[in-house]
Amino acid sequence: MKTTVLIATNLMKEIFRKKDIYVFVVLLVILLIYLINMNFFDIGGLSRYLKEIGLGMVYLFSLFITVPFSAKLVGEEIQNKTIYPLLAKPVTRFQFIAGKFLGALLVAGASFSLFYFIFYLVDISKGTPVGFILYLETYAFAILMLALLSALTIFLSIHMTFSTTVTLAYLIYFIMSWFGASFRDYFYNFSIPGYIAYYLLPHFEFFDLRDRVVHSWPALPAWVVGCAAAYALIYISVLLYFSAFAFKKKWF
Amino acid sequence: MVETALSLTGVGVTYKGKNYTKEALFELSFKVERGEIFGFLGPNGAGKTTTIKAILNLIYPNTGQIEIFGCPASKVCARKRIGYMPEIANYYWYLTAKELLLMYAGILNIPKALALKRIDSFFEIVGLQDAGNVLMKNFSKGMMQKVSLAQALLNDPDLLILDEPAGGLDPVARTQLRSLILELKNKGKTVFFSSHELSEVELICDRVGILKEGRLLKTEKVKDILNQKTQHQSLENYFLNIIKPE
Amino acid sequence: MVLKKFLFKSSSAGIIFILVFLAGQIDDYFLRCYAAASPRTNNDIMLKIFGQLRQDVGLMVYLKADQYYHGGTHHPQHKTAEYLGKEPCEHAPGAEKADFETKDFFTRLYRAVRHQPARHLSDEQSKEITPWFYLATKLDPQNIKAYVIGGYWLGMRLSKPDEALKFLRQGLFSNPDAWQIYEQVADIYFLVKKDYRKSVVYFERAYSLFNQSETDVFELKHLLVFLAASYEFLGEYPAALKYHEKLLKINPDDAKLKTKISNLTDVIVRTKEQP
Repeated sequence: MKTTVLIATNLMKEIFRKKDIYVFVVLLVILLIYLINMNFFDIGGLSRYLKEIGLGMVYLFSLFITVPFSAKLVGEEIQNKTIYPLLAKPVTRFQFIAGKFLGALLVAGASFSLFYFIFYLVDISKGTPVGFILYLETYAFAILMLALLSALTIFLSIHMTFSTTVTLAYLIYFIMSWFGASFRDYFYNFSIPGYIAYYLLPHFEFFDLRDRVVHSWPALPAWVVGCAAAYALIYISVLLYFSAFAFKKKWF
Repeated sequence: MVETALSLTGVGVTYKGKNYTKEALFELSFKVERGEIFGFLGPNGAGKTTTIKAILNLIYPNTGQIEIFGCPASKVCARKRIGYMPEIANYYWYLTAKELLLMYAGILNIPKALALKRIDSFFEIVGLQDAGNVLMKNFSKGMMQKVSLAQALLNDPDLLILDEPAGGLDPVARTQLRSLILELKNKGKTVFFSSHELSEVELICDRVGILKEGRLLKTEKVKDILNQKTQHQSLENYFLNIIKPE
Repeated sequence: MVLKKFLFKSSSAGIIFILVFLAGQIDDYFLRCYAAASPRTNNDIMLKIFGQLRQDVGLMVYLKADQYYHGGTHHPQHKTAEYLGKEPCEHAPGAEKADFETKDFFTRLYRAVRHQPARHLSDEQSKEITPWFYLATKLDPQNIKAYVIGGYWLGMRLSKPDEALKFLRQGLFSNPDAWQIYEQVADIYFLVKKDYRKSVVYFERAYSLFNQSETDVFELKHLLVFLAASYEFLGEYPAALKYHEKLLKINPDDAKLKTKISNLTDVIVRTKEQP
């Protein structure tokens, strides 16, 4: 556990020293300032557009950080040969993968938290916040989504090049987010293989609560939160298991 | 009875690609006793780095067994007592030298205070006192090699594995490295290293093994090689005679 | 050095970002300079750069207004929300529960997370839909519906007739042959501003364009009714009569219309008889 945590926490330093995250922070702040000052037909008190676009940018920027970062973790380590001194230490291959995943999650979580906090400040300053529980649920679900995406990206990166991994990860994410709910009827036409394919795909659409925040819907009941969290955790565990299994077979 | 630090028995490694199969090591067998300095020699492509990777479990032998102080190389326990310095020293650009070494120390379960003490004293020896808080991306090749050696020695290993350790080091640093290796031997440590610098090998090694095309041709004590004055005036001549085609 | 690099990176990104937003404003400015004998598409720089993508995004943004009006739900979700046992939604009264039974746990989870009953926004809240009309027309100035419906909401429901007229005039600038926009302008002048002189001008224009291309009887009736009413309020009874008679051709059995025509005819005769 200690080894895993050490690998993970040192990864955090990369994102803050590389400074890409600050560029997104600046972009987000500029965007939010621009949005706040937009005048639509001299109508005051508009807030939903700000929530929609602001929150959309928060999610998008988090994706821009999470996917490329997760995609390069394993490949770059092998390419730069930094993996040799690491695996020469008493580190199992599973600890390596777990450490990389935890690091990716910490980075994704830190970036998203920073962006979300900025958005939250702007939102409450506009004077039309939704319930705090809903903000918290949205935050938690987004973190689960980013964790799932990180695990998926790491799994893909063990089998593919960096650019293929990034492209495929983005494709899967956007297709499932937009069309995941509609796939059921399509896949069910193919009987058992269709059912398997439907359930194997990562259902990112479960974790997007932006509409709830934008339109002030009520918070989710506890059973929904529990089920979604359980789905994410099980899926992540399976992905990490197969990632470690594939990684264990690799020669360096 | 002298403990065996490193033991390879019938080790074979075959690389398999889409359109090719290459037998990199063929029934490699030798032992390195505790407290010995063993030089692993061979021309380019002989399989020296492959052997080291097999010892470190970075690749998996198709046949044979490797043991480190009696523990199979595939187990994590085998790597607790070794230190490894790779041929090409590359580390995480976003960490400082101290952060990097502290991370490795954490993995090796070395208490932080002790780790800092070792790091500081090593930096003192090699002249990196002022570079501890510099990011690795700003290190020169020579500085990187020194950090590489530092991370290999961090856990005071019983078996030190060095892959071309003299590459990138200036003459002063090489002398320091040589003294360090001899000092380790005096402490009862074992050193296993591959090198092309036969003059260095001649000065410090107890035994050498010569590899060619994946096959171990000879293992001999350096003392005995140099004593055979009628045939060999130097280790280099001995080496060239062994590996020349028949 | 580190600070310099960071400042350079973020200011470059910031500049690019601002330029993208400014591009729309610059685009508008040049369009006004090179006004429109030729269709707007020939001069639209953004359309040339981004092509159909811009229009497609514009359409998506326009549909957002509908989503917002229904409290954030998309139309297919209204019925499932009814099934979920929430209060009935006016869009799906009496939806059959059996239609939505499912043993698929994923579908149930998805519905619990993403579906809500549709609620039309209150008049106060409905202002939230207006930014999407603005953005939709910025992205696709040929989206006539966005102008018309945006103008309707601004002028008729949100008590912003001047803003509505300004918005609709922008629509006319980009779509000089759009009878729907003329009609909406005329509606605002008639119903809100009570300026019948102006409403006549715009209704006439809409009617002249309509005749050329459309066959929608409902819209034709709307134009004729309001044209007739505008002329009547202005005291120009012969013109009002003319349009009532055109209406009668469409609805020959409308008794109230016949009465109206008869009354107007009497008024015209009486007016002529007076010295």
